[in-house]
Amino acid sequence: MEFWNGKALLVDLKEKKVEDLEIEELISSVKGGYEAGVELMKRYPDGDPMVIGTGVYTASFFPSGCMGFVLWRRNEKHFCLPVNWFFPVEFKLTGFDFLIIKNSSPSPARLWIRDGICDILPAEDLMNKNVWETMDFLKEDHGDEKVQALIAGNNFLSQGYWGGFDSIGCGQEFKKKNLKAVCVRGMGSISISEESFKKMLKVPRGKEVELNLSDEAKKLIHRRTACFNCSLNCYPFFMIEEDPKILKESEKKEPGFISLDPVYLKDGNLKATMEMLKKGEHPEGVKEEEIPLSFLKFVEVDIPVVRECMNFGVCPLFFNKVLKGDSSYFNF
Amino acid sequence: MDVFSAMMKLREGEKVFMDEIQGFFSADADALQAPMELKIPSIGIYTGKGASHSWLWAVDTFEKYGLDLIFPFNEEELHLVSYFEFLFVAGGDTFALAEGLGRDGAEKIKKFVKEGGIYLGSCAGAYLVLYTSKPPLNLFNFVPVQIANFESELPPVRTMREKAFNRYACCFIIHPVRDEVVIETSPFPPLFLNEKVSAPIFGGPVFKEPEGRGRVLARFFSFTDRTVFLFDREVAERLLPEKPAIIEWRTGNGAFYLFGPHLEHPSFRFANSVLLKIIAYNVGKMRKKDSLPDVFFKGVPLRLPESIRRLVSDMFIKALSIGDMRAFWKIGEKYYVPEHIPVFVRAIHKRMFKKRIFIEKEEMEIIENDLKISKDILSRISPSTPEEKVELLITSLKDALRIFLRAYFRRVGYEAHSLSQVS
Repeated sequence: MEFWNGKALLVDLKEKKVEDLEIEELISSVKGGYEAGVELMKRYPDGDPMVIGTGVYTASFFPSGCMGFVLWRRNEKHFCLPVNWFFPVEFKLTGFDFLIIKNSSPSPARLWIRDGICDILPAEDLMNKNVWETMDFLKEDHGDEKVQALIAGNNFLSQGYWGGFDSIGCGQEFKKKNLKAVCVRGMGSISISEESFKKMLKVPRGKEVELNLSDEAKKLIHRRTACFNCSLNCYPFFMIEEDPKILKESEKKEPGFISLDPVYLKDGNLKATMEMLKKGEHPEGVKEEEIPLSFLKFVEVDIPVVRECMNFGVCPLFFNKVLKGDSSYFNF
Repeated sequence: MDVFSAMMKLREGEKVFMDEIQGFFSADADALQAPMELKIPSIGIYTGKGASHSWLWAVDTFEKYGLDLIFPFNEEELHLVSYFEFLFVAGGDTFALAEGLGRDGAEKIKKFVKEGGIYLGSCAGAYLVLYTSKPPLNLFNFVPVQIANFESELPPVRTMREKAFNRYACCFIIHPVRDEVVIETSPFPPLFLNEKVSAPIFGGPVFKEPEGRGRVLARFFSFTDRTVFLFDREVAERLLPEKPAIIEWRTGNGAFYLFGPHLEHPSFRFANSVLLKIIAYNVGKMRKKDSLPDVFFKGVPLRLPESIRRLVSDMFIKALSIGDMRAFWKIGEKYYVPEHIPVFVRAIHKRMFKKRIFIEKEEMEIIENDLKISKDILSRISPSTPEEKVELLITSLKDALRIFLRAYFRRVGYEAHSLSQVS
């Protein structure tokens, strides 16, 4: 099945059960990943389900093809947290397109997913660790720098060390499930035809974007980085503890940080921001927004466009700025 | 049709012929002057004591070109040698190979070739069967050819001292270059064509001219931008160009084919073509065995259990992460570096998703036990890990791989087995 594994993973934290689901038929019947995720929420309604999903071009060569999402319900209302960068790609390359998490674990737990295998592991020792300490532990425990994780902080779900856009309480939903982290390492591949590959190469690339930062914050930028195969390099790395102009490997353990969400940076207090990232806290607390407003502001599109982009696993900012909202680029 | 297309057609079950006189391949026997029908031969690959990771290159290359009737075996399974049509002994530690195979192995190999088998020796597997007076290597005095990369005084080493030479009695076997060299093939059977081919060399022999029943199938020709000179370039210029790189030594009904460069390396397609032509020609010439031995038909069709896949996945993740660790361990006469470890683990990792392999319960237990031992060592590996531990890691990995790969390459069984035998 081109672009997809055709498999979802169903995890019941209460029963400690893991099940592979064949979902080729489901994927064929919907437009893309977001719609499939919503459908999975309907098909598995029990146990307060949460769906972590990917889009059509997640982990492909499509520029910015690294978009995923987390879906859940709270008080009969649907929420969707867009997740981009390494986690969705690494997750899709584990052999699954979606992860459905049911119920709560009787004791603190974490998931470890790779090569079509999922283990529910104890996480008692992690409950007192902050986000960065948890990420350090996961890398050490699984013996690899390349593992990626979604980690529950104080009120926030962080993608590894880099935070994210969770101002809508996804981290709290993880906590309700007694789930500290979902850790993944993708060593598989997805099928892409030569024809699709050639078409992807013809998708336009954009130019560097202007970052909406204070002058003080701009002075602390050490480097900027971009998502997969995208040229917009919208993620700044701020060097807090060292001179940002020095281009060499830092000798400090925590010299600075990358933030995926510019809302952190609005007050310019980057040191405080770094501490919040470590704790896994969002400065705006938890809001009742279907999709975080900060994300919508960042990508400068409205909710239907975000949904469309999550169907295809492509960053809405790239879709907006480079593809100029032309969804014909999605048709392979 | 070239040799690659011929192999593809064989894999697809089509009839393919090779012209014994001109070396052409065709699906139409009538189109050839002296057609020899080809088939996929059975190939035993030695994986036991002394074999490093390069036998896995042979597995990859043979599989890629459809020669997938492969059976890895070790020094405790020498009785299997007579089952095969080809025997592949790859690189590693020549002394350890000789110790591992021992007198019994030497006799089995001698009998194997005498009765029509083809011995393919690459690097250490080539050194092994050359004449020498030093025990236990002298058990394998099968090919009376000397090496040219033998010096009484060691020239100044310029780089990679640990890989540049081996002491041998009062002298030195030196390895003037590593990585890529160009060889020139001979225009007579089994290669039929005078062409220049790039091939990798990692310490393999540079032969002197064979006499008697020996023939030179290829000579070292030149160096490339990727050639690494371990001594002054003049040393390499003196020792390699025009010296034999591949030799054939016919004995009894069979033959020894010895390669200085690793023709089996999967990244060198044209070197692979040389190896494939040698195999194809000999397949065409040899008397066909009526049936395959039972060892290719054991086991019941199963997916590798999750417990084993879990071990392999976790080991592979760890093995990849140590690839850039700066360390080396000397095991026997062979230096191992961290980047060798993922080669072993990858070989099982990339094949473990096959929907079914033909495996027996005891084999699964052996694989799981060996992988547990390996994982335990790998999870704590560091530059200061003792060499005995690393040797155990590699031995356990090789044992697990040997059992796994023979199951992976098995054919559908003709005996009816029930699932209860393995449940």
